[in-house]
Amino acid sequence: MKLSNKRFTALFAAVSVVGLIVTMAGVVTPASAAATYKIGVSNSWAGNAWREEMVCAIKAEASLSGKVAKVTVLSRNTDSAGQSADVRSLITQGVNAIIINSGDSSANNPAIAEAIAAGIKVIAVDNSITAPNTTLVSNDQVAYGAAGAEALAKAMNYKGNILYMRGASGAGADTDRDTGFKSVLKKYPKLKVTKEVFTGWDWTKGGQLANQLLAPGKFQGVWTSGIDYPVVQAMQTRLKGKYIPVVGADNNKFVGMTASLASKGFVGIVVPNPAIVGGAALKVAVDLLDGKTVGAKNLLTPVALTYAKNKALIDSLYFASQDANFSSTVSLKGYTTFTPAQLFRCRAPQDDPETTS
Amino acid sequence: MGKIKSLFSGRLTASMLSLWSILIVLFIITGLVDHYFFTIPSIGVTFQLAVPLGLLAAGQTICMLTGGIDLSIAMIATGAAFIVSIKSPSGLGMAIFYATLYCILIGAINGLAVGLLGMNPLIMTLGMNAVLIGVFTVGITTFLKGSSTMPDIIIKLSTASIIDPISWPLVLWILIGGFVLYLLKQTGLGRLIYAVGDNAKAARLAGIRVWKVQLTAYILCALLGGLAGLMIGGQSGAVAMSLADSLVLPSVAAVVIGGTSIMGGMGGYTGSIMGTLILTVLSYLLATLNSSEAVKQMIYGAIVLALAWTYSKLTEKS
Repeated sequence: MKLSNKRFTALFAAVSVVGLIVTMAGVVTPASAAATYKIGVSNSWAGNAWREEMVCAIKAEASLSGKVAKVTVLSRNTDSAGQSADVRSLITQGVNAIIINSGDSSANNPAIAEAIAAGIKVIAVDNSITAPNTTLVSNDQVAYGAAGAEALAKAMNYKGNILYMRGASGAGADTDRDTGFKSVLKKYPKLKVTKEVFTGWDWTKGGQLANQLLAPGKFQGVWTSGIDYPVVQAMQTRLKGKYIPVVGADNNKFVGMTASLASKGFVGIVVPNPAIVGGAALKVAVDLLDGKTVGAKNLLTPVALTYAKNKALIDSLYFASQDANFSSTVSLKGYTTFTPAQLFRCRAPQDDPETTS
Repeated sequence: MGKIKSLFSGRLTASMLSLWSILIVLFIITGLVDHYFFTIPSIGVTFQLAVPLGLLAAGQTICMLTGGIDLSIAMIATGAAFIVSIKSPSGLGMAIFYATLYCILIGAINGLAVGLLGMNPLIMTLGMNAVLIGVFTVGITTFLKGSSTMPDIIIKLSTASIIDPISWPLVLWILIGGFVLYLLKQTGLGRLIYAVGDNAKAARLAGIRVWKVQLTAYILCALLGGLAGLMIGGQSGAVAMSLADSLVLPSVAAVVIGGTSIMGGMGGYTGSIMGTLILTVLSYLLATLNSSEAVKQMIYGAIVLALAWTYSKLTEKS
């Protein structure tokens, strides 16, 4: 507990310092008198690039909204007890809305109920939760599973063995994707999942599993829950440069490989799972606080992209300047207003002295 | 030649025999569950995947022989991988130099705190791990931004096979493992490590500078951890915060299963190698079973407990 606080303080201090430097460099957004909302963010997984980008999207969109005074991020690697403690801490800090990416679909429900009782709007982002009176902003994870499965089935000519590499057991997104994936697979009796593993969305574990499991002729296709490019990399050594179709997310390196290895016969299926869904959650939070009517479920519908069909789009999704696991979708129509540069700067309203009143 | 033989075979005691039989039984069960396991390339891959754990266990063996333990080894490994990843565009040599420096620094802090300040190694290294998690969590959004892949040469060195089932990582493990075995069994430092772990007070009274031995042990452990980190990064092709998380407990378990006393002074690397191979085959077996993740975790934990318990019973008798 003590150490986690220290970690958080260190993170917070560093973010503030970065913010200060950016401000001193003369990048300043116009101040707004109406910036009053306090937004709390509870993120169950610190140090994960996708989640960091999600948090940055929340901060960037909050800065641009002109209505948010402060974004408080409680981001740490914790279990449900720890995340519930974080939610309660946000309640004590008097936030108006809590955006939560929950590590478990129901374990935080009591803390969330307390927040709602205190008049706080609760928005679940990315991972769905079962708590009532909450608003979900997420990629449609069922459709995500289905879209990838459909494209994979086609790439495999509707027959063969699939290596099915799921996310983390018990996470809402994993369960939903599984539902979508299996609904498609039922249609094609000649397609079989001969191996099902959980990567825990851990790049190392995913890469090692791929290294261990891939062997010539054993599988004809791989579905991944976003731990994608290590699988392609493993094929280069394990399958001696032969490629089988892989379903992945919009991870920068996977997008790049989908384009660059297409000529070598690699079929990469990109199903975007935008980290900037955080920005959409922020917009929904502000709308709710403004008293606007928002549906309980706000889902982005992912579409599977292949290089054969969507060459230009895939090329535009690759950012040579960004990390391998950077989620390359940088804008969501109707939700986000930031530019890529503003997203990369990752600045919350309070990091800019001119917008704090 | 006789010297070399004694290095690698060790005494074939009852405990060593039981480790061998456990490994063989696990090997056969895995092969029956997954026929592909018995093919030569698959055996090669299994050896490859054992190497990072084998290196971590080597570091842990050295620490544990002095009566210590290094729980910061995950973040030492992860940190080294991050540093090589971010520095490699400006030359692999420099990148490895910085990573080595990092390992020595963290190892030295651990070693000095344990040796000179008398900190409990468990608390010290666990605390160090938490501090490093903090540093690198901030780092990946700031000074380490852009580090998420490994240079090609490291990927090659951690995955490429020479002739199946012999691969580059295996060759590396044989060289480094041989060095660790030699160090522990044939050198003065090795004897000092055992002496300090057996009875630090007696060692001090005998004129040994105990803190220097502990300092060396933690630095060696950190260097082996760093190397393991690069291997893990190379094998998975990705560098992330959780890089070595899942290997910390196995690194301790491999050593304990291999018969090194957690109190220090007893055991050796030969046992840890066996422990490493047993755990690697076990995790292959579990990855092959089509059971739920929770069941796999339970089986893994139960088997590790049973092995450690059986082993401690066996060593009591002999």
